Amino acid sequence: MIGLGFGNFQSGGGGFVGLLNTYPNAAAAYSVRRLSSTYKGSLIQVRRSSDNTLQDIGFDANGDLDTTSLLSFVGAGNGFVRTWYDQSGNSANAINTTSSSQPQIVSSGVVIVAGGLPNINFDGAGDYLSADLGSLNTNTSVYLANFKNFTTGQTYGTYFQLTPSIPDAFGIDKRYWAFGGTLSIRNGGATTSGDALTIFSNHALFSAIFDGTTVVDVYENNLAVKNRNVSGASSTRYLTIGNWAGVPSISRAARMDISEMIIYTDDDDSRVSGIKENQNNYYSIY
Amino acid sequence: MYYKSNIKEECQAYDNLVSDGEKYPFNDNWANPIEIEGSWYILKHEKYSTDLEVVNELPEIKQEETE
Repeated sequence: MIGLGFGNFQSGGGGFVGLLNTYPNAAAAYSVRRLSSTYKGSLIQVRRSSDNTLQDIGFDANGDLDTTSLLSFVGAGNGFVRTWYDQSGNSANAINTTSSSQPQIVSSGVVIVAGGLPNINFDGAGDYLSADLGSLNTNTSVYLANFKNFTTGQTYGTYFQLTPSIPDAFGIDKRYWAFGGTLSIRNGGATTSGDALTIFSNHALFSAIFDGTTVVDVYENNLAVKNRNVSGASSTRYLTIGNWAGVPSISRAARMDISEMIIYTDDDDSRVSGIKENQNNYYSIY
Repeated sequence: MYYKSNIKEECQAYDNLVSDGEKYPFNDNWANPIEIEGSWYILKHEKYSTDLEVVNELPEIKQEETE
């Protein structure tokens, strides 16, 4: 295994307690670690490059991605994530059945890591994963961990979008071509841009809370960095990670690394500091 | 590199060629055709060739098309 699983266990031998045990009711939750004591499934489904065979990869006794099984399966080649399993209990698995657009977790027999922990790489050339959250919502909170956006060679990149259909809804993307490497927040067709952030140079925690009408609060690591008004309400159901919603394309894909993504369909900001602390205890970001 | 055609079905046929050859499980496929300014493109697989025109990169998409 890679990493030590800090943050997954209660002190005093209380057994496994995941982030979702403390902060339940997520609409979807994807990670390279186990997030809930009730979750018994796999973390990812991997396609190996040697023969395109698929295999589910779970977690070890610490709740970390079972990298021993991962490397045993992939061998000396590359491993790609076909499915990032939803641990929320809602079965909103993030999937890509198109092989050339699947993000990567193993490169030439080595697990891709950031800060010593597995990191899924989206190549910015079309990679994406998509999921159906099952129902329309308006308020939304999204938490990304061990996340970095590589701006070199990119003119545009969408980290994720949540849409009612296709396209245009709440989403966060980078508009490198227009604003010199700054964050753009998009909401129902309207956009605000111009924020320079840490995620363009370092792996970080990143989150956004959207109140369903016009306000988007953006957090980086343990800081609230932006509170922006973005006109144009939108509802959310279909998730695309790493690319534009509905019609994923080369020009709109983000070159990025990510280890965890958790989505709540509310704008409850009381859990922000706790989730940040949990994620930082595990990923050692700041 | 990408193959280019004015006919979407030709790119889809290349996808079928690769997908069948690679024996992806669950009817997974290789790549999806991309339309840019009236032409269709599909990512080239290093093991499979076709008679379509080869281009090194996709043409740059105009700013307004990414809005």
